[in-house]
Amino acid sequence: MKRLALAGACLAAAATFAFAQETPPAETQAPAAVMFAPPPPPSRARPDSSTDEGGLWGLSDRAEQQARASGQLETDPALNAYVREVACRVAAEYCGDIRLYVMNRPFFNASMAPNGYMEVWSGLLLRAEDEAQLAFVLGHETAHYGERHSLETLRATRARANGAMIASMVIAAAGTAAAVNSPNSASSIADVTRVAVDAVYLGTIASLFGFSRENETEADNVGFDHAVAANYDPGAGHRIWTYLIAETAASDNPDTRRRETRGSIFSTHPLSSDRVEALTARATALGGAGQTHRERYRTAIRPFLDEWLRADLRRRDYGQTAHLLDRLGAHGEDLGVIEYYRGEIRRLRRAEGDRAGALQHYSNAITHPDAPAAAWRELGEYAARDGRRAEAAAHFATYLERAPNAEDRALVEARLAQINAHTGGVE
Amino acid sequence: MSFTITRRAALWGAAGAALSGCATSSLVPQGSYTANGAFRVTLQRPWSDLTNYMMPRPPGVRLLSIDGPMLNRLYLATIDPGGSLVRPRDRDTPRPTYRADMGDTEIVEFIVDCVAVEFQSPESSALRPQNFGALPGVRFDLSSRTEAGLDIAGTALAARSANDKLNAMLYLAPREHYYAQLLPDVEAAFASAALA
Repeated sequence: MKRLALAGACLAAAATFAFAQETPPAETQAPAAVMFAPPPPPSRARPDSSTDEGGLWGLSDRAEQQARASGQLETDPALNAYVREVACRVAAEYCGDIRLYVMNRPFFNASMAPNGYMEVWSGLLLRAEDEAQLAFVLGHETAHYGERHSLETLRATRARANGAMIASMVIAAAGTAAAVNSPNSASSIADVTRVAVDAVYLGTIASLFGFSRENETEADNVGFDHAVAANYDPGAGHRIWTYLIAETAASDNPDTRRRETRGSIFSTHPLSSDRVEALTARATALGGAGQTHRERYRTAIRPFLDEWLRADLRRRDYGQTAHLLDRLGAHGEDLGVIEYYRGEIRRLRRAEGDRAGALQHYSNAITHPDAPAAAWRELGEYAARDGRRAEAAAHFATYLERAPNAEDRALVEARLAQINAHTGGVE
Repeated sequence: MSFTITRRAALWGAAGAALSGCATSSLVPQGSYTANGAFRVTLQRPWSDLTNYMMPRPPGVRLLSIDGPMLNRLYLATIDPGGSLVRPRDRDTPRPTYRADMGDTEIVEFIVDCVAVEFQSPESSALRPQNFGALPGVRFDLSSRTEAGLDIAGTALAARSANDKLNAMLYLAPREHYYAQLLPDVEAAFASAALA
């Protein structure tokens, strides 16, 4: 316990210090506000700050403040409005309580704090196959809010040990920092403070959203009811949980496979096969009624596919990203982007057979109208290295035509000039 | 002035040491500085060498700063094939890895991905050929944000040497005030690079 207390003190000290270091002059830290149509009034009044629930709201307020200033906040108004609309449909009477923030984090997660602040991570948006699956997850989160599961968790923790709140915060903070930072563990001096900032922010989230299996089952059931009431496909819940289990199993990282998705929804929302089976049974009993709104959903996330896939690739869990790409490509849409990223996996991985695989995927990509211009550049690079200069020059030229403002234009032009000098071609 | 600045860096270092163990910093005097035994640069002012605070420390990477790494940092790196600018805490965690067969855009991508380990959605811009001493290299600028939302600017120069090692210099600082303040010094260091 002494060690935990020490860890807590260090985290608190480091967080304060880091905040002082990272705080820019006041005028530069304007929060990126997301404008929505006026929501209905909140269903809940702010509890008195002297109560335990008031304390939870205070913690939530602090986490929300950090989310608003975060460099990971996605401010696109159309995407935010769309996700909020879906959340509202399944939130029932709590729609007016929601303040939603889409965060650019390449992990599957969503949460709703006791004060109504909701985070939806880009990793979830990338992995939900349709609107019904997103609706189920958001319905699940609003169910935790509606049923006051955070308060229940706090009271249960307090009942177990006097003063355990502090200890649980420390444990949650330390544990979550380790979990969330491991996939991206850095190695600079700044990490000393960054980890601490994340620890406090994410530790707060973990302490607010570390629910019991009973809470999770209840949230599944309420989320299911709300999604079905909003005319969403009843099979969405079990399908998204099943997909996540399969993606976890596809991970390259043995640790991830062992511990399920670290830094993801499972670290705070234990998932068991019982829950999947229960959702499947309920969906089967209801039959196939309800909408998936798959096309509408894909239209909403399509502008972000490239950016989110790049972020996903940076996790360098090629097994998981390949699994995700198979899912995204299952309906034959966005194949230019998907084939390009299949090529990117192989280019970066450089395992046996990956060179030929990358070439094949880039070649497939450029047969689709949505292929990123970079596919031609990569083909040009491979051709140049193989001594196929004319082909390389043609690919580089196409790249420059398709991306006239490319940031690497000067570099590619220099490469092209080099090739043309060899072939006697004209620049 | 420089005393105040390095004292601030030393204070930062002391705070870091209190939190992270027994790391020490050292003063790098103005003038010629040989990084990793691989290349030489001329520094226009004294810097603090905070390399020992990188935990775990990636081989072949030096970290210099004036006001502390949150306000400005200059990485001077010589990376072997298979190495990285960053080092994960556990063996299972993958990291961006330098390969000897990387093209210029891949070298940029490698450095940007290393930056992405700590900063949010870094993006490279203005990629152009530029010599690293006598070596043909690649130069680019960079923009990113901290987790807390602070805008970060950066610039880098990198080149593969004859023995396939990657020599790289990367400067990062908050866009507001700090980046521009040291940029002339960094440009001078880049321009002065020579193989050791």
